[in-house]
Amino acid sequence: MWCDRLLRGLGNHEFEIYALTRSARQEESGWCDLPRNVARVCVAPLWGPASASESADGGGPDRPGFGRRERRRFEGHFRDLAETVCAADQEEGQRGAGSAASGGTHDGTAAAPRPTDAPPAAALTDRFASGLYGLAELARERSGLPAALRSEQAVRILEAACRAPGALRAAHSAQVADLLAVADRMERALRPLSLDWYGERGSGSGLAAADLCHAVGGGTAALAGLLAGRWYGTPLLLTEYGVRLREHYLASAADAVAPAAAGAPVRALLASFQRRLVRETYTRARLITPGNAHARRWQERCGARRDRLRTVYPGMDAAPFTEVGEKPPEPSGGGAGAGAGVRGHTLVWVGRIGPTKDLVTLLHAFTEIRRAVPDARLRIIAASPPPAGGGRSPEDTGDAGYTAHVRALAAQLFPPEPPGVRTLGTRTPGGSPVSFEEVGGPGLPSLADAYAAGGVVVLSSIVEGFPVPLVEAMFCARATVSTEAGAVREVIGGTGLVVPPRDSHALSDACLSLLRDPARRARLGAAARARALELFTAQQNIEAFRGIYLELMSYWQEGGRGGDGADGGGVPLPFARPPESHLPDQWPDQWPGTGDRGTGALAKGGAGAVPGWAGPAGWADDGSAPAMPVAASRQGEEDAG
Amino acid sequence: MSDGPEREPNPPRPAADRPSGDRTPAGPGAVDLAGWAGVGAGAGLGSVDEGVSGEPLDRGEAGERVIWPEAGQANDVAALDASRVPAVEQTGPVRTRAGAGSRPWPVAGRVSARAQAASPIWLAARTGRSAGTAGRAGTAEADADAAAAASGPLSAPSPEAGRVEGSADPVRQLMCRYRELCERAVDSLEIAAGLEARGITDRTAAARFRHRDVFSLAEELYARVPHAEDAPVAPVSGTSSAPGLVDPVGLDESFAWDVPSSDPGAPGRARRVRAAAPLVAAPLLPGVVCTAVFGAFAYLPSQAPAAVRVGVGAVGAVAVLAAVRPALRPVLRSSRPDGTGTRGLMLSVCLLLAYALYGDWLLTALLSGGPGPDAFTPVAARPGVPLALAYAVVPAAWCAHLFAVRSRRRLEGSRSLDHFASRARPLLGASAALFLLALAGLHGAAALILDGRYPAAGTHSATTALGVLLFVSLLLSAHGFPGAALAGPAAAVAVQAAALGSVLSARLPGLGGLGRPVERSVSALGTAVVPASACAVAALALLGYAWRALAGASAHYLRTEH
Repeated sequence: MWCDRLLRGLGNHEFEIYALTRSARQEESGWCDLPRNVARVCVAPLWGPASASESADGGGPDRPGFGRRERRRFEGHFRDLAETVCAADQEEGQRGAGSAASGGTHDGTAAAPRPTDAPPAAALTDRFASGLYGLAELARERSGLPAALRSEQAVRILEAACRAPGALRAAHSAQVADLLAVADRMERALRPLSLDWYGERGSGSGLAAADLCHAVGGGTAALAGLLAGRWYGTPLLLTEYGVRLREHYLASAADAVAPAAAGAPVRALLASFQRRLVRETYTRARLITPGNAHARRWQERCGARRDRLRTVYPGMDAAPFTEVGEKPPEPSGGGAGAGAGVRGHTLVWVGRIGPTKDLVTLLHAFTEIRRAVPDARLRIIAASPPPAGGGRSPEDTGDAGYTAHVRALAAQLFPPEPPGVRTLGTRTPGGSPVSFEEVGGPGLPSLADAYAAGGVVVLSSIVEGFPVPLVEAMFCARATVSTEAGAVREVIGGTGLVVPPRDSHALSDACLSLLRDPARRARLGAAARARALELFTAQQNIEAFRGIYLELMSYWQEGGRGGDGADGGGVPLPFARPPESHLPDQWPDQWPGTGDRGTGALAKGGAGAVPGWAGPAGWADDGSAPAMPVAASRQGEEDAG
Repeated sequence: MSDGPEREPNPPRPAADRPSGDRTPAGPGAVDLAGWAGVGAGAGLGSVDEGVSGEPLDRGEAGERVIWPEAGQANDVAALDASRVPAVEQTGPVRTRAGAGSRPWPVAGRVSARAQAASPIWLAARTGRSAGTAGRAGTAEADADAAAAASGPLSAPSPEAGRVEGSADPVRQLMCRYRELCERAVDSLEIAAGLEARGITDRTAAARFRHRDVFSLAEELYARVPHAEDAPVAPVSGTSSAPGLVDPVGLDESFAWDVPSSDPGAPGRARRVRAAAPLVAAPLLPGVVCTAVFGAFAYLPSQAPAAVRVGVGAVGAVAVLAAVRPALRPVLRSSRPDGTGTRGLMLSVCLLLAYALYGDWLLTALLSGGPGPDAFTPVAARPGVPLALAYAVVPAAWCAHLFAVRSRRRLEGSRSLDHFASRARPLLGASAALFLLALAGLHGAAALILDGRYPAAGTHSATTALGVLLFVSLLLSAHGFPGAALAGPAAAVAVQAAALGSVLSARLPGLGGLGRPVERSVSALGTAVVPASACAVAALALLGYAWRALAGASAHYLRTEH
């Protein structure tokens, strides 16, 4: 969704989309209609069996399958890969103990002189990279890599690596079934290696012709961009609103309790593989744009260099909330069908009901609020389209059961005459003070109305990525009380109250203080709206990426492609190929002095917090690498159109 | 689910110090075991009940103030922990920051208070409130006293000291609470992700656990908690499910004679029956169709024109062949559906079957100088052959399934690839032998029923060899070796064609010697020697290949669902 907005927003760039799908459902959900500046869309599945031509013994006529020599090469490369994956990571422990204060040396490469443990770690990282790229080269020349990765040979190599001295403890106990599971998953993760996305240098098609690869998510999704950077020197920009590695860990932890549980060796090896892959991605990426400070911390932890990190907040469309936000505060008018006083004493919770939202604490807090303010109301409004912004956690499952539980609790705490759903029209002082509603239901046609219905918006999550409801409330100029979770703190800044999670006392105290003080409510709301408009609009996000695109392209040198990115390829020469050389004429007028801005920002490194917006959508699961071909004329056309 | 539902509306907030600033690490007394309020009789433990968050709020201007009380939360956790674990488990080792991680965390419940009493470095932190009954509290205190007596001055039994001990290690409470997470985690990052997902932030880590961030807290947890992999490797039970492998249709349970029915519940049985139904019913399809065709022949009037008979025969053959594919689908579904090679395999199989039906007649005719255009009336083999082959699909499917299920099960218990290979090979031999016996029996029975006599030895062996060849080919294609699965039947076809061709080419002048080997062996052993030897050799070669290939673990990938 945010990708879509980005594509539309950057109309003067031409994009090619390369997407990986994770399930048949995702593939069937299809594409929204793409804007005109999308030149090409390639989709490859990461699920199901490998494609027929790849898994066959022979392979296609142009790229014959593996012969004896290829098998030997494959053995070497895969052994590198497997042994580094199985190797115990000394780096992890050492870093936690050692570099707590000096955070800048999280670099897997030998950039900074490190104490004694550094050489093996760096050597391992290098070996992983060489194995990975070796396999990629092989897959480029011959088809049949997926079959080889599932072959007996690969399983044997994996077994040997697990039994080798210095391997992970969990790997030692790996059984044959575990090895098979690992090989299978690795084959799927490495499928981007054998795709035909890359093209030949100078052919003008594929990733070879791109000026920039923008990968959405680290790890597997960024593999294509990684290879393009390796082969063609294309700079890689990595955007992660939720850190993929963290999601992998959460899914893995959830797997561990599943009935068909993956064994500890499987999870350990896959985690190690993902960690190394992500580290490689972070090392090679020219710039990484986390969506919030939380993602940024994870990225730093996993090997991203600080000077290459630049937070770009996800952006949201502020337009639907303008009317509510601009409306003068309370005295003048009531909300939909209710008096001003009632609305002022109404708390609103908006979001998707789920265990992570901790509505139980909210209800308990509301009992205290009721004691102090007897006519207070709480409206729990379920937003039907999932508005979650950052990481989608597996806890989202079982929402229905949680909803029922919360309703039961509400009915128990606030015994109503008829328990259950209540609508706005029937809200009488005698009824239940807690109501469960849905956006789109009677009286609440839109999300903005939901926020307009209350004087204070409450967010009680214990886990939160980028808190979309909070930003929406800010757009609506509502005073907010939220729990400290995820990116809440950096989003709200000083324009709302933040309380610790799971603390009903603090929550009720904060809510009470706002309920009793309309002036303060208005003040906070106005400040929040101003802040949101400044930081979290979609436009901000697009402009940030516009600048980053140009900046990265300006560093890309046609001739001096080191292949290793900036740290391997010698001194980068800024503006060896100025962006203006392939931009339409009118462009400099729109953005005077962009070049300076770009260089300055990169030199300083990640200081800027450029606001923006992110959506969930199927896109977030894809690795898409928008690419901007060199041809200036085509860009001009697109711009004119 | 969160812990929310269990909580009381007003969580008790006993004494606690409050951290002065956001980032300031709390002092050693910041987190207080709830029970100590009772033990210490409240002396010196000031209550901060004046509203943890309310008081700054009232002064707040324009909302710039952000409330951040740590104490309420801390006590929450403490109260929860205290009420959940028995008193004995709350006792903990003396632990300093430097020593953290050096000593494995005692698994709660395993370390008895008595054992701790014997060791001078164990201190007992009493959590009187958490002890559910007075009796238990009494034992805990008695043990604590014993510990004090045993260890002398090192373990001061005064409440103050105990309080310091209890609260000096807040990480331990965390370990108690998230033990499963910590034990299962494969590395510290997983713990970090899990902690964050449970609402622990950097701020919590800093304030309550005196760690820089969640990562370093997770590292300590990871280092202190004993992991599953540290335990000696448990013998793998046969019932453990394959890690990461998903049985697509529950085939494991689809054979009543394969899986001892441990849970004879009605739903389970219904599910098993439903899962087994295609596997039991579908392989019967070709046999049934073949029977129907022979029935149609039997009902045809004997004066029916030849064209009608040929038509019925052709339609019947096509129907039987078409029935083979659905019959084998339950077996082949675990293989990768690649279209390559399937067509070649189909062609080879058709040619082999055609030879089984008409090969003997053709060879005889060729050897005797025919067949001429005037006497082109092919004579099919005895009807027992096609019928037996059609019904042989049943044992083929079942034996292939047996092999797949059993080898998968052996896969789970195998320590190494070689170990697995040594366990899988007997299985392969057994299933091939089982099929061979079944086919031989089927053919004999079919011949007895239809022809009224036992089949000739040559035909019998040729049919059996053909069946085994096709069975091994089925196994190989079901386990992801389509190339080899094609090569065997194709080689047999080639040998048979070569035999026919050599006889034919012997008619050419000067090439008379070519047909002699076939002629001699036919005259010695009968016409069936050609298909029998061709199929037997191919089957043996294929079996040899399968001996190596199917004993490899990579042959037993399951189609993973995703």
